[in-house]
Amino acid sequence: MKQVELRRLNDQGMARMGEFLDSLTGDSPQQCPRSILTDGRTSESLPVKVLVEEDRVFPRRYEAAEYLYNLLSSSALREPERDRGLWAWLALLWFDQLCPPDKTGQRKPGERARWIPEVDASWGYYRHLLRGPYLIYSLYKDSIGDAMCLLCQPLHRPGDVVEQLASRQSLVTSRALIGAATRLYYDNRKNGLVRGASGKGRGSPRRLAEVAMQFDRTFDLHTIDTEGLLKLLPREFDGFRMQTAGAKTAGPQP
Amino acid sequence: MMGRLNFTGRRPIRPEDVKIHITEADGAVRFDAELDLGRYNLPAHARVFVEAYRQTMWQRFDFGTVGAPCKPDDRVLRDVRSPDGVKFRVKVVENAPAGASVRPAKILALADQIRPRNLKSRTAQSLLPVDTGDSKDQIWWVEFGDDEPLLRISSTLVSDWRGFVTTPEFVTLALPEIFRSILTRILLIEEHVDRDDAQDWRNRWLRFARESLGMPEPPAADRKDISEQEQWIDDAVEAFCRRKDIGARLGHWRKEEE
Repeated sequence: MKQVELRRLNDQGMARMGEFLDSLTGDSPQQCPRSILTDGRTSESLPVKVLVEEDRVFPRRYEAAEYLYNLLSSSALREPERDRGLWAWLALLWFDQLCPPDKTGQRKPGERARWIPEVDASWGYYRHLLRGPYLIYSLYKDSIGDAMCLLCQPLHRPGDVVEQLASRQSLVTSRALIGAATRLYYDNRKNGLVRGASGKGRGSPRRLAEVAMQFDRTFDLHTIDTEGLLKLLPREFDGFRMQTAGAKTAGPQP
Repeated sequence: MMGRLNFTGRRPIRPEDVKIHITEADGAVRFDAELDLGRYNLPAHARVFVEAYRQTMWQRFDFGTVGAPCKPDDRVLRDVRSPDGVKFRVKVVENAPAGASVRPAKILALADQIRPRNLKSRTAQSLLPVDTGDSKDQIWWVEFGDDEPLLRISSTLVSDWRGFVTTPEFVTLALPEIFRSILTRILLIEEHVDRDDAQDWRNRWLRFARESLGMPEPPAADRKDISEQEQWIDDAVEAFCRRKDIGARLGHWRKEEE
């Protein structure tokens, strides 16, 4: 276990990181500029000392979120979730597992918000590959099993369930809805999403988000529980209800 | 995108009936809310909630009922050290149906996206929030999401983004087109027609056009012929340029350059 001191990238460091990410989709991909993690011109130390495991491997978003939550919530850092440079630093530290090469050896980092977070925007904030799961974990830490539909994916591939449900503030904060989504799309026997959960058709997460947004305009989703909400859903979701019926008896577990 | 029609029966709460203040003391952020719901004819037993939110942070405060309002003593925003970006909504909901497994309570009245007044900083509410963005090629752009538009300035290309948006060059060359893009979004892309919710960002922009620029109501949406709406947008941008004295400002900084 190799521990390093957690730091934050400064503006220059984030600009350098941006250049690197841009280069990956160009003709001359650069090497990961790991030196900026410790170089005083591109990064700075935090007011408190926090040690982070550099070689830690996270099978799913859940393990990363749990690790980071335990690490940061006990650190006395002031609102670490709002520190852009800190999350950019962490993303670069674990770049290899956040952006593994595809079959052709190419790395596709995707949009910038996956690496340097949007800390004030009301959209796009959930896309950061580490801060996104961290925020979900912080919100659902007391009943984390309910949020597994948003945390069971590999770090580098959050997928459509996250995109559809975490992108809307009123939906992601509804315990009934996220609990219902986990009941529909998460199979705790395989610790992953059920087949078809990434589709766009009937009963898909995309449809769930649309139906929930309609409910949200008329009803207060914070006054119903998961069971009640599941009963309200139209029959197009029956296929997913049946798929997860066996797993449901035990209740969703991380 | 579909136009928005309000078939919910939900009443919009007017902004002047909701006053929310934030105070920061001893590292904690606390809020106070003054609500005046008298004009809405809501049932006395309907419940009143004030919700604070920012990204995944969400906290609900029980303010009693319409007939017997009651502020909770504890109005501290947990896990919030800085009030930046925190917004509020006020929800009046029917008294809960029997059991949470039956159906959710109906929303009777709503005010959303309320930006609090910070008693410490006294910051004014901006119609167009500005933030930095990541682009090495584009100097500025407007982002539209579920929420209000956001003007982004490239942090790579511009070091002092706060100063940049007030430069005469930016004001004269970029602001009118930003205004046009927002009106286009509201009228032609979103085909927004629900004018009841005064807090809705689209209605705040249309109110600005009406009250500050003297524009009439925009013409009704007509998908077959958008020429009237395009003309209205052109007129609004013209009025905006007059109001901002764009021509004179341009002459001024061009003269300085020479």
